Amino acid sequence: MTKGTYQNNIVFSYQGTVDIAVLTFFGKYIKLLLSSDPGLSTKVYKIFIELAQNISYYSAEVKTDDPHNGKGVGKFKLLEYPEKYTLVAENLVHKTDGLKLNDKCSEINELSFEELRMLKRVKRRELVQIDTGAHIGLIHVGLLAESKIEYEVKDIDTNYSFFSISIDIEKNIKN
Amino acid sequence: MESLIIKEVVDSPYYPSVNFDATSGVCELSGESYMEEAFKFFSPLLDWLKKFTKEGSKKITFNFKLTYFNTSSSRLILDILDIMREYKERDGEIEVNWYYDSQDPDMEDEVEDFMIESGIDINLVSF
Repeated sequence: MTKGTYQNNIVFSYQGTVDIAVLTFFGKYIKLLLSSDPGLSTKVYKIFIELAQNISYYSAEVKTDDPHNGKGVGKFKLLEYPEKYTLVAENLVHKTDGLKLNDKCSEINELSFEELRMLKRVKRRELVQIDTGAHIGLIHVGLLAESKIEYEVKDIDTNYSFFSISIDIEKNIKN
Repeated sequence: MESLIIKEVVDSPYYPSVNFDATSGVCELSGESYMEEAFKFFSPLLDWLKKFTKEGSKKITFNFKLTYFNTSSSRLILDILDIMREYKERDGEIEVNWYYDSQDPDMEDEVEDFMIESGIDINLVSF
């Protein structure tokens, strides 16, 4: 970690394959870091796992040669500010998925809390058993954060886009 | 019918512990649930419950003690609740309790959503 990372409020950052061991390691660290505020700790932890699993399942960049068994590659980081924490997750997506993500995030930001809950219930019921839960995770993140999702889908070339999502979690949680 | 017991493993905290007691009818899921292949883990649990509710007529007390579950797991929790509802519709006796940390700001909404989706009552018990 360099001097610059402190100046940029970074608590931790990671770039690489996001598998279950990585999730567990950073999840434990979040719990430890925020142990003095259990409500905040739980919220940051839940959002982190959903965002990181999205990278693991849906990144277009995978570690192995087998795209069906590989674990997604991407980046995530936790930043701290006086009033909030911010979780950022970034990964490569196929261009067609990028368009869908853009629509999903836009829809999530337009809906009220209760409308989002209803959407989550409908989408969850539609999930087939082999599905890993795509996009319901994003809806869940929107519900947990109680704030708008900041996101960007930037075209890299004709086949791929770069997806970035940023979630603010206020330190003063409304119970 | 044999009970179904899966103990929590420290190195794999993403699997919940399972204790489905065929003698007492008390079934418990505890810990966290965010494994990579949720269906593979939950499939034998669903099979056990389907068999138990088909073959027997005992009261089932289902205690959820999950502190975290990801989206994929939540779909399979809903499948468990659906089995409970179907058993109740066949005049089976059920009691579903959800134990949660009172400092978890979101769990009450989660459980309320499960109640709406499954159509069964869940008792919220804070600790």
